[in-house]
Amino acid sequence: MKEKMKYLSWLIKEIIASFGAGVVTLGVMNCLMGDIGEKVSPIFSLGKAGISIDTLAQFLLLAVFAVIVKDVFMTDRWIKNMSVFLRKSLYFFVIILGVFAMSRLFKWFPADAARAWIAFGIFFSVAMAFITILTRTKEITENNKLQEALEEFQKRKKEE
Amino acid sequence: MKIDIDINDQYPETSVTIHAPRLSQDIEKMIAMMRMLDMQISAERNGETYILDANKILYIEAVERKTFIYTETEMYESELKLYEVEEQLLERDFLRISKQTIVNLRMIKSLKADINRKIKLTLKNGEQIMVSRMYSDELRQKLGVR
Repeated sequence: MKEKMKYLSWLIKEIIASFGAGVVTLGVMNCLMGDIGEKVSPIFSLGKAGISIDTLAQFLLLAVFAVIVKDVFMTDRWIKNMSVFLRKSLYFFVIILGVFAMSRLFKWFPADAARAWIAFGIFFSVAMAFITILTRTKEITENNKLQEALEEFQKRKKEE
Repeated sequence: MKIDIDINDQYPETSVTIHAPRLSQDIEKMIAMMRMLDMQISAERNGETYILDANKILYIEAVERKTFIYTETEMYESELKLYEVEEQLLERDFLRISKQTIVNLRMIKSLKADINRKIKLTLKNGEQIMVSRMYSDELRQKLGVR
């Protein structure tokens, strides 16, 4: 029971944090774009006046989705044996897929705005490639460092 | 319990003799603790008591108030609580890696960083155990990794 409550409170905390980060990002973008935003995407339908309840609800749903995906891939609660690299790759892939699906569902960008979709695709592909390379490099370096330290430790102990 | 201590430089080595009407759990525990001073641990398997050399132990695990000792091929049960074993073995390259596990650092074959700052250990018999986030920094420190 205690564990369940701890898990639930972690989920709520994560959802609030993700939602908060999303809303802050939206707010900043809204301020920067002003009334032009209205023409760019329905996300900024109110222009300078603020963010609509519809958009907030959609971003809350996105936050819930992101936290569920994080729980599945980035903790060992559901999947016990998987490399960190594969976990992170799948995590980003599913998140991107989810964002893409939601953009279609909630019409965040007009379906015929080919350039916007291409830019969206390129941005996420580049971001994913960059994060994957960075994660993999960091993981290999960390593992090598740990393994070397272990071998050094065991060698030292053998000599003692 | 009556304790007699007889110190005399005429004795070639230290010996302990226990006189008791019967072998109780307290006495078994006392023997287990003395064995550990000698880097030997007494443990049971199939109703028989074995004296295990600490260097042969891979890891020790507490499950439902029982303490189990794992070597490369066998599993034994100890009379001692996990914290009691830990106190004795800390000086001997054993390290607490989770609330319920102590590992012999000399028996680790490889280690890999895992999610949430956990570390996955592969032992010399191929078995894999996880170092919890709470204890992974201590392991890093012990190995000299920042």
